[in-house]
Amino acid sequence: MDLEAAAGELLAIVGRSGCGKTTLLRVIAGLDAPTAGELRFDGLARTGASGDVRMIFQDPRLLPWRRVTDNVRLGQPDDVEHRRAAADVLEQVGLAGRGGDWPGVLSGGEKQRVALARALMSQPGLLLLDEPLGALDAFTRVDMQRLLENIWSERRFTAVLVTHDVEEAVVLADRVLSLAGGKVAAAIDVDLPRPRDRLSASFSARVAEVLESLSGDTLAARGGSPKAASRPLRGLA
Amino acid sequence: MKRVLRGDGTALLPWVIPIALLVAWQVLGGSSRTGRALPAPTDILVAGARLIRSGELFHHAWVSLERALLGLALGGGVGLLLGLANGYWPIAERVFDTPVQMARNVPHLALIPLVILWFGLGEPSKVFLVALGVLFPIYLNTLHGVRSLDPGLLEMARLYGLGPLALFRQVILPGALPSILVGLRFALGVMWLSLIVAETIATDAGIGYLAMNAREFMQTDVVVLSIILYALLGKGADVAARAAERRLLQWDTRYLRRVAPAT
Repeated sequence: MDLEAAAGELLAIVGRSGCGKTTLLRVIAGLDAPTAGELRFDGLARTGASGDVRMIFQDPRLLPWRRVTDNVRLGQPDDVEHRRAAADVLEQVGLAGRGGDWPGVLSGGEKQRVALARALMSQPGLLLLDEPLGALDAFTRVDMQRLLENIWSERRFTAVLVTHDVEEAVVLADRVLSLAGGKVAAAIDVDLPRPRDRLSASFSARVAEVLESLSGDTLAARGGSPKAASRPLRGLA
Repeated sequence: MKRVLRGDGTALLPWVIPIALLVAWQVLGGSSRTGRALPAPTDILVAGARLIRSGELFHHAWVSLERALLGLALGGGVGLLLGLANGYWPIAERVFDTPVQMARNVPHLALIPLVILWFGLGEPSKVFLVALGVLFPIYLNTLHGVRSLDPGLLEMARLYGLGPLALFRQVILPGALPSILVGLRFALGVMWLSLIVAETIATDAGIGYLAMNAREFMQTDVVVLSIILYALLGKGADVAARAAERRLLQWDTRYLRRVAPAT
């Protein structure tokens, strides 16, 4: 596949389990090596991880033996400036004053916030998110989506979000790529105003479009569906 | 502490039998018939006071403690390094694990005659026996601790730019620490056992010497005293290990739930 993300774009990748979206993300992160092809960042070829790329995993992966603030400052020099920056970032993710806590006492949502704070500390140019909200309950998910969107809007880094939740993809992304059979089945622009209104018709239409692109062939085999009529809506604002 | 002082009788129940036995011991020890076989607690205390005054008690206890700690440092150090290396590098494990496991299967105390031939009757042989005894529990538990590290944490840490040294200090060692401390607790038990046996080899100092010498002169009270000394040192070591555990593992949720409810 050929994949391009513009700087500052929030790209979402959706697909069934096992379609390779996590592998794709790991290759971009430099955690796994591609069997063929190459990666380019700002036009320059690169292999392996770099300081400009940060990743958030489905499990928060905090070091349980270090306090929250030390987790946030992972890999950073230990000085007053960075300690203050860590406190600032924690405040941004809604965990002001929690720096002294042990990860063991945090809830799932709070742990992911710490993971997000940790990722943001090094001002990444590219943030990769591998189903970060999958393990959270519905309410926490909505809160976290709002948080992610706010921070991204403010900092405008490039983000690639892998998710199985199509609604989440349409809520957050500028563009949604659906993966099927190891290929990009569709690239759907979501040019709706932010923050997205989940109840609007255009929102539902986008979601339907993405879903359809994922199960396209099965629907065709069944002789089409009422949703086929939503295709012309692609041009609709 | 608060539980003990609550004032209902049930707090004292665990102590009923020990105290009863102590009283019986005192009474039996007082009578002349059984007094030689098992001196009364009061006799033992008197003997203890005598030895403290003459300085012998502290001298011998210190010698024993020194041997134990030196053996622990040497054997534990080697076990720790081997465990860390074999846990982290598969190639090291392939090369070193089998010989270590082979050595482990030889009961180290059975090696005493050989040890005496190699190291003589002095301090080195005793320290060597203790070191050999503590090596294996520490090695096994360290190995297990490193192996059972969450690979996701290692991956994340590498992604966030941690070099090999930082990775070791911040992820591998703290992560393996709970297991290492379990190994230490086991090792402490073996340490005392090895020490006690090692001190039956010709000695001129140490608690073992105290006991052997007292036996020669039919001083049963000193013999019992030396047993109590071993027990006290053993308990002391265990308490120290537990305190270290509490301090080093305070992040562990199991400890957190017990010690401090959410702040």
